[in-house]
Amino acid sequence: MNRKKAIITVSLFFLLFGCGTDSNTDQNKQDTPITGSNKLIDQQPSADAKEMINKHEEISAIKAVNNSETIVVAVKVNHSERFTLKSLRKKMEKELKDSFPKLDVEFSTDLKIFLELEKLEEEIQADHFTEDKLDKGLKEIIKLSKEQT
Amino acid sequence: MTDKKKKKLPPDALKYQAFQQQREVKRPLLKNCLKAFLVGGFICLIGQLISTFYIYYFNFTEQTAGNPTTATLIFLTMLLTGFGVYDRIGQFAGAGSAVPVTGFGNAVISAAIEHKTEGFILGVGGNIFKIAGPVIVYGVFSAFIVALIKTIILEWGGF
Repeated sequence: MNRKKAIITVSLFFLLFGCGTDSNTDQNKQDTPITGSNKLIDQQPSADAKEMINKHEEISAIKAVNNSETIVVAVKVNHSERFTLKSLRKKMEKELKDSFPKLDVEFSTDLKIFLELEKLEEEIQADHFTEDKLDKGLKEIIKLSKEQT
Repeated sequence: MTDKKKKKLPPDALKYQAFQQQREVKRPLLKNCLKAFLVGGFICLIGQLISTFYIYYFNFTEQTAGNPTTATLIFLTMLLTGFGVYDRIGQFAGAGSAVPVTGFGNAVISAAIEHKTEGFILGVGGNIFKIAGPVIVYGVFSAFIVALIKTIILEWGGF
């Protein structure tokens, strides 16, 4: 019986503490800097925002797209940091708003927004992309991020 | 049983109680907890997978993916209950299978199956929400109260 208890305790120990050591492997932050191959749409604010937010260690990946009025930023937060998601969101949103006072800043930690921005970023690189398309895409993403139910 | 009540019992009953306590098979509490933890966690893992699926392949955000995920999980449990699989999971995991939202689906369908012999209207219709009904009523009512409090604080509290 004692042995059984010991086995259970040890397995519980491994179960609960086994996952605690990783998390600091954020060397491979996937930031695809938008170099502005498409001259029609200036993505410099997005590139600046990426650089700024990327300094935070809590972030594992970041996507950002902007047009002349709005900038939408989405980040992937490390799992161990998700306990403080709310304060993180607040902090970074404030930082972005302070840095881009002329633009409407939309900040999100949502996976869906991240994926949609990723798609949009890829589309921007294409030659036949127009500003109308960008405006429409951003509008849709912002609408999606505002949905509650 | 409290000490006060115990004192009033006749000596034979006390003797029996001591005897019964000695003979009763002890519940393996830790083992049960571990089983419930693992199976409940596994159910949550499936829920997370479904949620991620909805985020990747449909137009749902992390915020909105919860509703279809819950619905899918309940639907799956209803099917499993009908096929008689969920009973076995419940037997093995106890609270681990009852506490997640899957327990709700199980409670609805198992009540329906149990009362099928009494007819479809008075049996199934009258008893299908025997266990789940209070859950729905409590859920809706408490949500209403909380929303009311929130509205009062936000609208008139000056925040």
